[in-house]
Amino acid sequence: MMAALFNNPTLMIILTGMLVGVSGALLGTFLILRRNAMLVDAISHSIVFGIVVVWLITWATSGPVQILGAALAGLLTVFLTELLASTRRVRMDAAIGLVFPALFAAGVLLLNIYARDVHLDTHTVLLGEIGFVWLDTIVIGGIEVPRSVVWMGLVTLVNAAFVIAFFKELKVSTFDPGLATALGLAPTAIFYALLSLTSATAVAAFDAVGAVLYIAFVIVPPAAAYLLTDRLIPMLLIAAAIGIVSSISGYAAAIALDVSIGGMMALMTGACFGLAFLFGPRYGLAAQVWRQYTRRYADESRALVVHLYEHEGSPNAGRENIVPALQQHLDWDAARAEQVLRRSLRRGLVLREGSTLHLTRRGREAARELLEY
Amino acid sequence: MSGPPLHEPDFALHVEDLTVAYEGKPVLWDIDLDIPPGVMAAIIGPNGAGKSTLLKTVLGVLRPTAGHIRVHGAPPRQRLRRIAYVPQRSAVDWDFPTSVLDVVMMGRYGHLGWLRWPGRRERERAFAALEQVGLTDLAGRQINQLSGGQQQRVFLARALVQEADVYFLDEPLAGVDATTERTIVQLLQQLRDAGKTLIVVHHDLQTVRDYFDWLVILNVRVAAQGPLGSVYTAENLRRAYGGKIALIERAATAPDTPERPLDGPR
Repeated sequence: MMAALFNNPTLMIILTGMLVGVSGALLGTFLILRRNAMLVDAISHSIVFGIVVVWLITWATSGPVQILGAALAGLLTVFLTELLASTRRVRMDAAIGLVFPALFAAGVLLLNIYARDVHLDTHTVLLGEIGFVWLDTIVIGGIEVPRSVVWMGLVTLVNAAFVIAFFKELKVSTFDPGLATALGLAPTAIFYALLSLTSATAVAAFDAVGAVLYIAFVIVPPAAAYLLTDRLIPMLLIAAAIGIVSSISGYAAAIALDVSIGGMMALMTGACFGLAFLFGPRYGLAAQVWRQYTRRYADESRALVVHLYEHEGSPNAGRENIVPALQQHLDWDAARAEQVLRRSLRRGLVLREGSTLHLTRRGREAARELLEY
Repeated sequence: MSGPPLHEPDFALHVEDLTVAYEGKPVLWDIDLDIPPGVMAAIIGPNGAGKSTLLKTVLGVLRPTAGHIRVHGAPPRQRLRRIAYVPQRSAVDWDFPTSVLDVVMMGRYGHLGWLRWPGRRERERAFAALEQVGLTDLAGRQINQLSGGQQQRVFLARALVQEADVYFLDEPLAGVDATTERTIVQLLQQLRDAGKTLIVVHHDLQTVRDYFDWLVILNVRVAAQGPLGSVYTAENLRRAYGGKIALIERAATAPDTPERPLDGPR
């Protein structure tokens, strides 16, 4: 039964994608909130350097030594970047742009020189081979399990344990590092732990999705989740869910169109982001436009109600509180005046008697509320 | 408590020979500073005088180049549970996905220690603190929907749940409306009356005399320090601010005018 599951290529490919998505979302959420999205880009490129160096020394292409080596390369990137920025001759974004291409280039050159015929090639480095993850298996408890699934599973567990155990430390270090320091919660250590895991996850995800697609899985789902919620835990869960959905839909789309599976999965994270961006309930574009639209109309109705209230019972009410006054005094054109009046009538704020306008009790209350506030 | 003997334990804050260089250039030169417990102290000084730097150094956010700091006799790192900190409002990202109650609960994180999640007790304390600052209605609100004054009160509530002895506040009255200012000042005065020490970076010379009873005038060095009455003089202010403050000077040279010597537009 279990063996059959792990023998199913489709399932293994999708599972790998899901694990990359979930593990990436757990870390990416905090990186996005810290505004360190570009560091993921830097790390995922420069770990190529770490991977190649470790491979040259140990001939291992995956496993704990590789993960450790790449994690160190990731930290080296961050360290060099901050070192460069601390000289204040180079800004942070430029420092990132200087360091990671250098390490990445060094990694690629080493590959070219020493590893022409090995499974590590530049194409895999960028895009991975998620379609073939089920070919490379290791035996666990008598069952053949894809190597990528094993490593991604472990890394996902470690990331989840890290986020659960240090949730409040991560939260306060991200939101208010000054307070975190004052409370003795070592925000810098937390930050470096986060980046180490980002590097380690990148290595584990490397075979499956490559350096570039990994960035999509870390950055895009949390960025989409950020548009969909106002709370941190839902943001983590939504980001993970987007990773999962993107893996499934990406696989299906790739098979249907006969294109790169990893590429399609990454594209699906982008599609999810697009949907969140357009249709998010509060921060989506559509919601924003709708809010502006309704607010404008509501304001017009309010203006009318207040106008009627101000002149109600006054000697010039006969001149002010009549339909033509909407055009003459409130300076609305005929169409707009007509619309405002119709909406105000419909909402029961105003009564019309010939051309005279009266406030209903509700309209009067609304005006009073507005003026007293 | 064991460990090395206390140094100057009679002061809530003791700073000696402190120099802080910030990004290469010194901001505080060889500062000596003592603030006794149970006072509400203002730290004033012109822009760039190092007021915030002093606070950040005491709290361990910045590292001093030289000198030492003691809070109730011990280095601040050993006094974390007795120190509360209210940063400037601009120090955090108010679009962070979290609620008002959650931000207040962060004040308990230090007491909770590593790894433990906040629970019902922390929630109750946070609610109590929100009640003190008059924001219970907003407990579930997303923090980006708060006004400036409400943000400041949230920060104050967060400091209250820290249940500290020494409170450091960085410009808590900057950009808040008159009502909020009164609420905050009253709360701070209550804390002082309960024996706590409040050390407040303050920007408004007009209100210093109304709110505070201890004064530190800072401008890269300490220009003057001590009980407010003896320190708030035209000469001291001029030393820190230069000749630019004719209005203050006039008010300060007549310190014995009854009631409100510095009548601001209120």
